[in-house]
Amino acid sequence: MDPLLTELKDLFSAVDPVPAAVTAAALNAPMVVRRSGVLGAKFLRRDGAARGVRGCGRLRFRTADCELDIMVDRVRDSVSLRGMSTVPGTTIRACQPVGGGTAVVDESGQFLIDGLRKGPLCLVVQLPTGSLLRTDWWVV
Amino acid sequence: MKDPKLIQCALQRAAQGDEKAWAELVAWYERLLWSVARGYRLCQDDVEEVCQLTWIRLSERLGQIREPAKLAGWLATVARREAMRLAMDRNAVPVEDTQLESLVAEPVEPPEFLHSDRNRQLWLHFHALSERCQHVLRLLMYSPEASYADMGRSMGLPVGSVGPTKTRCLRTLARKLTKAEVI
Repeated sequence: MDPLLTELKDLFSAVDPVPAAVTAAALNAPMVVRRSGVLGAKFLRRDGAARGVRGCGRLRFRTADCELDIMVDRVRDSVSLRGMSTVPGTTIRACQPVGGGTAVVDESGQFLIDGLRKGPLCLVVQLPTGSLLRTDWWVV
Repeated sequence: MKDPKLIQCALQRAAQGDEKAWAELVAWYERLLWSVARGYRLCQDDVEEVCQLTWIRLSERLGQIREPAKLAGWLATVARREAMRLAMDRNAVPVEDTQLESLVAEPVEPPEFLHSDRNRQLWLHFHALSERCQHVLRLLMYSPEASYADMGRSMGLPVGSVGPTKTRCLRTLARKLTKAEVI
Protein backbone atom coordinates (compact mmCIF):
# COMPACT_ATOMS: atom_id res chain seq x y z
CA MET A 1 0.00 0.00 0.00
CA ASP A 2 1.19 3.55 -0.75
CA PRO A 3 2.83 5.03 2.40
CA LEU A 4 0.47 8.03 2.27
CA LEU A 5 -2.54 5.68 2.23
CA THR A 6 -1.12 3.76 5.17
CA GLU A 7 -0.67 7.01 7.05
CA LEU A 8 -4.26 8.06 6.26
CA LYS A 9 -5.59 4.67 7.32
CA ASP A 10 -3.77 4.87 10.65
CA LEU A 11 -4.99 8.42 11.20
CA PHE A 12 -8.64 7.61 10.49
CA SER A 13 -8.54 4.47 12.63
CA ALA A 14 -7.22 6.50 15.56
CA VAL A 15 -9.29 9.65 15.15
CA ASP A 16 -12.58 8.30 13.85
CA PRO A 17 -13.11 4.76 15.13
CA VAL A 18 -16.31 2.86 14.38
CA PRO A 19 -18.60 3.39 17.42
CA ALA A 20 -19.51 0.28 19.40
CA ALA A 21 -23.22 0.94 18.75
CA VAL A 22 -22.59 0.73 15.00
CA THR A 23 -20.89 -2.64 15.37
CA ALA A 24 -23.73 -3.87 17.59
CA ALA A 25 -26.33 -2.77 15.02
CA ALA A 26 -24.36 -4.48 12.24
CA LEU A 27 -24.19 -7.72 14.19
CA ASN A 28 -27.96 -7.51 14.74
CA ALA A 29 -28.85 -7.01 11.05
CA PRO A 30 -29.65 -10.67 10.22
CA MET A 31 -32.03 -10.77 13.19
CA VAL A 32 -33.77 -7.60 11.97
CA VAL A 33 -34.31 -9.17 8.55
CA ARG A 34 -35.56 -12.46 9.97
CA ARG A 35 -37.98 -10.69 12.30
CA SER A 36 -39.39 -8.49 9.52
CA GLY A 37 -40.44 -11.57 7.54
CA VAL A 38 -40.03 -9.74 4.25
CA LEU A 39 -37.93 -12.23 2.33
CA GLY A 40 -39.76 -13.50 -0.72
CA ALA A 41 -42.35 -10.70 -0.84
CA LYS A 42 -42.81 -8.86 -4.13
CA PHE A 43 -41.19 -5.42 -4.28
CA LEU A 44 -42.99 -2.09 -4.34
CA ARG A 45 -40.75 0.16 -6.42
CA ARG A 46 -39.81 3.55 -4.98
CA ASP A 47 -40.30 6.49 -7.35
CA GLY A 48 -37.47 9.00 -6.98
CA ALA A 49 -36.17 10.70 -3.84
CA ALA A 50 -38.11 12.40 -1.06
CA ARG A 51 -39.82 15.65 -1.96
CA GLY A 52 -40.87 18.38 0.44
CA VAL A 53 -39.32 20.58 3.07
CA ARG A 54 -36.79 19.75 5.79
CA GLY A 55 -38.17 17.29 8.35
CA CYS A 56 -41.02 16.24 6.09
CA GLY A 57 -40.57 14.15 2.97
CA ARG A 58 -42.96 12.62 0.49
CA LEU A 59 -42.36 9.19 -1.01
CA ARG A 60 -44.20 7.10 -3.56
CA PHE A 61 -44.07 3.33 -4.04
CA ARG A 62 -45.86 1.33 -6.69
CA THR A 63 -46.48 -2.01 -8.33
CA ALA A 64 -49.22 -3.07 -10.72
CA ASP A 65 -51.30 -4.11 -7.68
CA CYS A 66 -50.92 -1.15 -5.38
CA GLU A 67 -49.60 2.39 -5.01
CA LEU A 68 -48.57 4.08 -1.79
CA ASP A 69 -48.10 7.81 -1.39
CA ILE A 70 -46.47 8.54 1.94
CA MET A 71 -45.68 11.69 3.89
CA VAL A 72 -42.86 11.18 6.38
CA ASP A 73 -43.02 13.58 9.34
CA ARG A 74 -40.06 13.84 11.68
CA VAL A 75 -40.39 15.64 14.97
CA ARG A 76 -37.17 15.32 16.95
CA ASP A 77 -36.57 11.55 17.15
CA SER A 78 -40.18 10.54 16.46
CA VAL A 79 -41.36 9.67 12.97
CA SER A 80 -44.85 9.23 11.57
CA LEU A 81 -46.00 7.98 8.19
CA ARG A 82 -49.24 9.45 6.87
CA GLY A 83 -50.30 8.08 3.56
CA MET A 84 -52.72 7.09 0.86
CA SER A 85 -53.11 3.67 -0.72
CA THR A 86 -55.02 2.72 -3.83
CA VAL A 87 -56.29 -0.40 -2.05
CA PRO A 88 -58.54 0.15 1.04
CA GLY A 89 -58.42 -2.64 3.59
CA THR A 90 -54.68 -3.18 3.06
CA THR A 91 -52.62 -3.83 6.18
CA ILE A 92 -49.35 -1.90 6.29
CA ARG A 93 -46.63 -2.89 8.73
CA ALA A 94 -43.61 -0.66 9.34
CA CYS A 95 -40.62 -2.83 10.28
CA GLN A 96 -37.67 -1.29 12.12
CA PRO A 97 -34.65 -2.71 13.94
CA VAL A 98 -36.35 -1.63 17.17
CA GLY A 99 -40.08 -0.97 17.38
CA GLY A 100 -42.28 -0.47 14.32
CA GLY A 101 -46.03 -0.13 13.84
CA THR A 102 -49.06 -1.31 11.89
CA ALA A 103 -52.06 0.38 10.26
CA VAL A 104 -55.02 -0.66 8.13
CA VAL A 105 -55.90 1.52 5.15
CA ASP A 106 -59.38 2.97 5.74
CA GLU A 107 -62.25 3.22 3.26
CA SER A 108 -61.02 6.57 1.99
CA GLY A 109 -57.60 5.07 1.28
CA GLN A 110 -55.77 6.77 4.16
CA PHE A 111 -53.54 5.38 6.86
CA LEU A 112 -51.33 6.65 9.69
CA ILE A 113 -48.46 4.93 11.49
CA ASP A 114 -46.88 7.00 14.23
CA GLY A 115 -44.49 6.51 17.11
CA LEU A 116 -41.74 5.25 14.81
CA ARG A 117 -38.04 5.92 15.39
CA LYS A 118 -35.47 7.56 13.19
CA GLY A 119 -33.53 4.88 11.35
CA PRO A 120 -33.93 2.08 8.80
CA LEU A 121 -37.48 1.17 7.90
CA CYS A 122 -39.22 -1.23 5.53
CA LEU A 123 -42.94 -1.45 4.81
CA VAL A 124 -44.67 -4.80 4.46
CA VAL A 125 -48.00 -4.53 2.72
CA GLN A 126 -50.65 -7.24 2.87
CA LEU A 127 -53.43 -6.71 0.34
CA PRO A 128 -57.00 -7.84 1.14
CA THR A 129 -56.39 -10.70 -1.33
CA GLY A 130 -53.59 -11.95 0.95
CA SER A 131 -50.78 -10.97 -1.44
CA LEU A 132 -47.66 -9.78 0.34
CA LEU A 133 -45.69 -6.79 -0.98
CA ARG A 134 -42.75 -4.95 0.50
CA THR A 135 -40.65 -1.86 0.02
CA ASP A 136 -36.89 -1.87 0.12
CA TRP A 137 -35.31 -0.63 3.34
CA TRP A 138 -34.68 3.08 3.58
CA VAL A 139 -33.78 5.50 6.34
CA VAL A 140 -36.44 7.78 7.85
CA MET B 1 -5.81 -8.71 1.27
CA LYS B 2 -8.66 -11.11 1.93
CA ASP B 3 -8.84 -14.35 0.02
CA PRO B 4 -12.08 -14.50 -2.04
CA LYS B 5 -12.51 -18.13 -0.94
CA LEU B 6 -12.49 -16.98 2.66
CA ILE B 7 -15.12 -14.34 1.88
CA GLN B 8 -17.24 -16.86 -0.03
CA CYS B 9 -17.07 -19.29 2.86
CA ALA B 10 -18.13 -16.58 5.34
CA LEU B 11 -20.99 -15.52 3.06
CA GLN B 12 -22.25 -19.08 2.70
CA ARG B 13 -22.05 -19.77 6.43
CA ALA B 14 -23.72 -16.46 7.27
CA ALA B 15 -26.52 -17.25 4.80
CA GLN B 16 -27.10 -20.44 6.77
CA GLY B 17 -27.46 -18.43 9.97
CA ASP B 18 -23.91 -18.78 11.31
CA GLU B 19 -23.52 -15.75 13.60
CA LYS B 20 -19.75 -16.15 13.85
CA ALA B 21 -19.42 -15.95 10.06
CA TRP B 22 -21.60 -12.82 10.00
CA ALA B 23 -19.42 -11.30 12.74
CA GLU B 24 -16.35 -11.98 10.59
CA LEU B 25 -17.91 -10.11 7.67
CA VAL B 26 -18.78 -7.20 9.97
CA ALA B 27 -15.22 -7.10 11.32
CA TRP B 28 -13.74 -7.13 7.81
CA TYR B 29 -15.89 -4.40 6.32
CA GLU B 30 -17.36 -2.17 9.05
CA ARG B 31 -14.44 0.24 8.83
CA LEU B 32 -14.95 0.57 5.07
CA LEU B 33 -18.67 1.33 5.44
CA TRP B 34 -18.10 3.81 8.24
CA SER B 35 -15.46 5.57 6.24
CA VAL B 36 -17.55 5.76 3.06
CA ALA B 37 -20.65 7.04 4.90
CA ARG B 38 -18.51 9.61 6.73
CA GLY B 39 -17.67 11.25 3.43
CA TYR B 40 -21.06 12.94 3.09
CA ARG B 41 -22.85 15.84 4.75
CA LEU B 42 -24.52 13.71 7.38
CA CYS B 43 -24.72 13.96 11.15
CA GLN B 44 -23.29 11.10 13.18
CA ASP B 45 -26.76 9.53 13.72
CA ASP B 46 -27.35 9.42 9.98
CA VAL B 47 -23.90 7.95 9.30
CA GLU B 48 -24.75 5.21 11.79
CA GLU B 49 -28.08 4.61 10.04
CA VAL B 50 -26.45 4.35 6.62
CA CYS B 51 -24.11 1.67 8.01
CA GLN B 52 -26.99 -0.23 9.61
CA LEU B 53 -29.06 -0.03 6.43
CA THR B 54 -26.15 -1.35 4.36
CA TRP B 55 -25.72 -4.33 6.69
CA ILE B 56 -29.46 -5.04 6.54
CA ARG B 57 -29.31 -5.02 2.74
CA LEU B 58 -26.36 -7.40 2.74
CA SER B 59 -28.16 -9.66 5.19
CA GLU B 60 -31.11 -9.87 2.79
CA ARG B 61 -28.89 -10.74 -0.15
CA LEU B 62 -26.40 -13.13 1.41
CA GLY B 63 -27.47 -16.02 -0.75
CA GLN B 64 -27.42 -13.99 -3.95
CA ILE B 65 -23.80 -12.79 -3.99
CA ARG B 66 -22.06 -14.90 -6.62
CA GLU B 67 -18.72 -13.10 -6.78
CA PRO B 68 -17.30 -12.71 -3.26
CA ALA B 69 -14.29 -10.77 -4.55
CA LYS B 70 -16.73 -7.99 -5.43
CA LEU B 71 -18.26 -7.77 -1.96
CA ALA B 72 -16.19 -4.77 -0.84
CA GLY B 73 -17.15 -2.85 -3.97
CA TRP B 74 -20.80 -3.79 -3.55
CA LEU B 75 -20.88 -2.68 0.09
CA ALA B 76 -19.13 0.59 -0.73
CA THR B 77 -21.58 1.25 -3.56
CA VAL B 78 -24.62 0.62 -1.36
CA ALA B 79 -23.25 2.76 1.49
CA ARG B 80 -22.33 5.57 -0.86
CA ARG B 81 -25.69 5.64 -2.63
CA GLU B 82 -27.62 5.46 0.63
CA ALA B 83 -25.52 8.22 2.16
CA MET B 84 -26.17 10.43 -0.87
CA ARG B 85 -29.86 9.58 -0.89
CA LEU B 86 -30.19 10.30 2.82
CA ALA B 87 -28.33 13.59 2.44
CA MET B 88 -30.82 14.49 -0.27
CA ASP B 89 -33.80 13.25 1.76
CA ARG B 90 -32.73 15.24 4.80
CA ASN B 91 -32.79 18.34 2.67
CA ALA B 92 -35.85 17.05 0.81
CA VAL B 93 -34.60 18.37 -2.50
CA PRO B 94 -36.16 16.78 -5.56
CA VAL B 95 -33.35 15.03 -7.43
CA GLU B 96 -32.73 12.57 -10.17
CA ASP B 97 -30.13 9.82 -9.77
CA THR B 98 -27.86 11.60 -12.21
CA GLN B 99 -27.73 14.60 -9.85
CA LEU B 100 -26.46 12.52 -6.95
CA GLU B 101 -22.95 12.76 -8.36
CA SER B 102 -22.90 16.49 -7.75
CA LEU B 103 -23.18 16.14 -3.98
CA VAL B 104 -19.72 16.66 -2.59
CA ALA B 105 -18.40 16.50 0.91
CA GLU B 106 -17.60 19.79 2.58
CA PRO B 107 -14.24 20.37 4.24
CA VAL B 108 -14.29 18.98 7.76
CA GLU B 109 -12.49 20.70 10.61
CA PRO B 110 -9.89 18.45 12.22
CA PRO B 111 -10.82 17.18 15.69
CA GLU B 112 -9.50 19.40 18.48
CA PHE B 113 -7.56 16.56 20.04
CA LEU B 114 -5.53 16.10 16.86
CA HIS B 115 -2.39 17.81 18.11
CA SER B 116 0.21 16.75 15.56
CA ASP B 117 0.51 19.35 12.81
CA ARG B 118 1.22 16.63 10.28
CA ASN B 119 -1.99 14.79 11.18
CA ARG B 120 -4.06 18.00 11.15
CA GLN B 121 -2.76 18.87 7.69
CA LEU B 122 -3.38 15.35 6.46
CA TRP B 123 -6.95 15.45 7.79
CA LEU B 124 -7.66 18.89 6.33
CA HIS B 125 -6.19 18.20 2.91
CA PHE B 126 -7.86 14.82 2.62
CA HIS B 127 -11.26 16.40 3.32
CA ALA B 128 -10.53 19.16 0.83
CA LEU B 129 -10.18 16.59 -1.97
CA SER B 130 -13.11 16.00 -4.32
CA GLU B 131 -15.79 13.53 -3.25
CA ARG B 132 -14.53 11.15 -5.94
CA CYS B 133 -10.93 11.32 -4.71
CA GLN B 134 -12.00 10.77 -1.11
CA HIS B 135 -14.11 7.80 -2.16
CA VAL B 136 -11.35 6.10 -4.15
CA LEU B 137 -8.80 6.63 -1.38
CA ARG B 138 -11.21 5.29 1.27
CA LEU B 139 -11.78 2.19 -0.86
CA LEU B 140 -8.04 1.70 -1.26
CA MET B 141 -7.46 2.13 2.48
CA TYR B 142 -10.08 -0.27 3.70
CA SER B 143 -10.63 -2.76 0.90
CA PRO B 144 -7.39 -3.09 -1.02
CA GLU B 145 -8.69 -6.41 -2.36
CA ALA B 146 -11.39 -4.63 -4.39
CA SER B 147 -10.60 -4.75 -8.10
CA TYR B 148 -10.47 -1.63 -10.23
CA ALA B 149 -13.64 -2.91 -11.92
CA ASP B 150 -15.48 -2.95 -8.56
CA MET B 151 -14.13 0.44 -7.61
CA GLY B 152 -15.18 1.83 -10.97
CA ARG B 153 -18.67 0.45 -10.51
CA SER B 154 -19.01 1.94 -7.06
CA MET B 155 -17.94 5.35 -8.34
CA GLY B 156 -19.63 5.33 -11.72
CA LEU B 157 -16.23 5.43 -13.44
CA PRO B 158 -14.95 3.39 -16.41
CA VAL B 159 -12.52 0.74 -15.17
CA GLY B 160 -9.70 2.35 -17.15
CA SER B 161 -10.10 5.60 -15.20
CA VAL B 162 -9.68 4.13 -11.72
CA GLY B 163 -5.90 3.74 -11.77
CA PRO B 164 -5.27 7.26 -13.15
CA THR B 165 -7.82 8.68 -10.67
CA LYS B 166 -6.05 6.99 -7.77
CA THR B 167 -2.67 8.30 -8.95
CA ARG B 168 -4.00 11.80 -9.49
CA CYS B 169 -5.70 11.90 -6.08
CA LEU B 170 -2.62 10.69 -4.24
CA ARG B 171 -0.43 13.17 -6.13
CA THR B 172 -2.85 16.00 -5.35
CA LEU B 173 -2.83 15.13 -1.67
CA ALA B 174 0.96 14.81 -1.60
CA ARG B 175 1.33 18.15 -3.42
CA LYS B 176 -0.95 19.91 -0.96
CA LEU B 177 0.97 18.46 1.93
CA THR B 178 4.22 19.54 0.35
CA LYS B 179 2.87 23.07 -0.08
CA ALA B 180 1.99 23.05 3.59
CA GLU B 181 5.61 22.00 4.17
CA VAL B 182 4.73 18.96 6.13
CA ILE B 183 6.33 16.35 3.90
